Amino acid sequence: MSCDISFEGKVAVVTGSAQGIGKAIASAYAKHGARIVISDVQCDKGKAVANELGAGAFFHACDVSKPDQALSLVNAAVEQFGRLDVLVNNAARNPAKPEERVTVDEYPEDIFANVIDVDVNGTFYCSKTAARQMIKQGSGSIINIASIAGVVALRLQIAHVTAKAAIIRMTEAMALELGPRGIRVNAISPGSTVTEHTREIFYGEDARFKEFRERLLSFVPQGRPGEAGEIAQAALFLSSDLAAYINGHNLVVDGGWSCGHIRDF
Amino acid sequence: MGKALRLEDKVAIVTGSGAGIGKVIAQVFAKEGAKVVGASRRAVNGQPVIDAIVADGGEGIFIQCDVSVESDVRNMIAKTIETYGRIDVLVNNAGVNFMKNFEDVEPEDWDRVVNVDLRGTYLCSRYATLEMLKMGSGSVVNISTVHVHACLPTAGPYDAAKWGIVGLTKSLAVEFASRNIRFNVVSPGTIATQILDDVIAAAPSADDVLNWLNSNIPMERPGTCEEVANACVFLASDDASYITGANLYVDGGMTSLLLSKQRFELGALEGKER
Repeated sequence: MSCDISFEGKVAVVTGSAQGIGKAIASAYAKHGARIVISDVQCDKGKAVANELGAGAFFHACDVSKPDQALSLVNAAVEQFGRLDVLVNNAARNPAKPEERVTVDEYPEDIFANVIDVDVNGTFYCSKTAARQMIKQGSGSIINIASIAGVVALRLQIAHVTAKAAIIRMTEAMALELGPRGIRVNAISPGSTVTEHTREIFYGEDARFKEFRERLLSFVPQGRPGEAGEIAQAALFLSSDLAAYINGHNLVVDGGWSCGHIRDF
Repeated sequence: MGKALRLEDKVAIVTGSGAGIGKVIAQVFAKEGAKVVGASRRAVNGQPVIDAIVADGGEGIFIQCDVSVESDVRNMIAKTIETYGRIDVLVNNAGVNFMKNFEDVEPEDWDRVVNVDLRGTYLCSRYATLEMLKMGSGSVVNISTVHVHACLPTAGPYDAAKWGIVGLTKSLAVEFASRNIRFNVVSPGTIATQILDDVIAAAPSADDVLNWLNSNIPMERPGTCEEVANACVFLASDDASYITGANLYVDGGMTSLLLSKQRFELGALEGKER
């Protein structure tokens, strides 16, 4: 059963939507009638997604860690479509390249700074500029893609954990400030999710760390990774009128991972 | 786009469906295509809710049930199976509360609240789960409260029971995930119900109470029962297929807030370094 929420007449911007969860979210909005701006640093892939989604979608290149590019992204949406109803801050730096899986005493400063730049600063820059438009309209919804790594700490991903925790608290702070002005701000924390990236490392046929797949999934009560479409359903719900009184919430979509595990002792 | 019903053909039990949030959950579930089993302690409240649903073209039955009484719960489950043959969704909404200084909370007060709110959730979950296991699927939504984020004085037994519901939910989410039964919590904030009206009516100034309440809510208004019901629909439906053990706050941002909005000017301090 698919969600029947309509986004006819609405405009959504999804950052980092050339692939993975971002692409799934953008596709879901398009399918439910929204006009959509695809944005990513990967231009070829991003344009292909926009083409796939048809006339109501276009691609706008954006490195969210650059304030001027975040501004230009929101401006492009408003110029093209006249308004902005939904911003999904999904763009994030690849959380754990194998060579980066080291403990804090080894973790490279430049990579830490870069993760914070894209994940945290990028969310702030895009939200700030989107909020200005939404305040003018008196309505809007911002969804920040966090992670269960922001809810519970994971080893060997110090920058990712720090960034995602910051995004959850930033979500609450924005909810406080923007709630009185008709704008709701919520987060989604996915658990392990099947994407191009995780297929490469865990879930694909010739994944590099295939041997860890079973061990990883032994921590997940539902025993499987989430589908990107399941994260998209949560985004549709939170940005729809069905969630009209949900503000400042972090919706965990993790198959039960963060509430306990079923490993045999 | 035609409207697809999100709970089409699902059989859903809603406890405490005679009034307030539970009544609206039953109504919204029926509109979403569910066959609603409305359960409440007093038939005089519960029966008309179901009658109205049926008159409106929906489907449902009423079963008198005190969720703290095991035989009542077993009867409710048996009648549901007898009528519809299955249980897809259980919403544990029935609850009681009172406000009393803890020095005055007698053991019977404690038992009443904990028996309905927590034991009732256990009993209904247990007997519904036995049926869901036979079908190999199910979704349970437990109604808690924003008190599981931060408490209010004079509600000790209620808060203890509602925190217990969250613990039970997470534990069962883990235990039943591999058997395809999901358990989640909806935690409402201040919601416009008869209870809220009574609180406002009992105060010397309705405006003062509402202003105070709203000053603690970023969205500056109480929520509606429909808004809570919509969250229940989402979690009960297959749209939430990867969500289990979650606690969804429907509170207008209340739990993001530490202090209510400032009531004083800080102009004198503006721009001064400290």
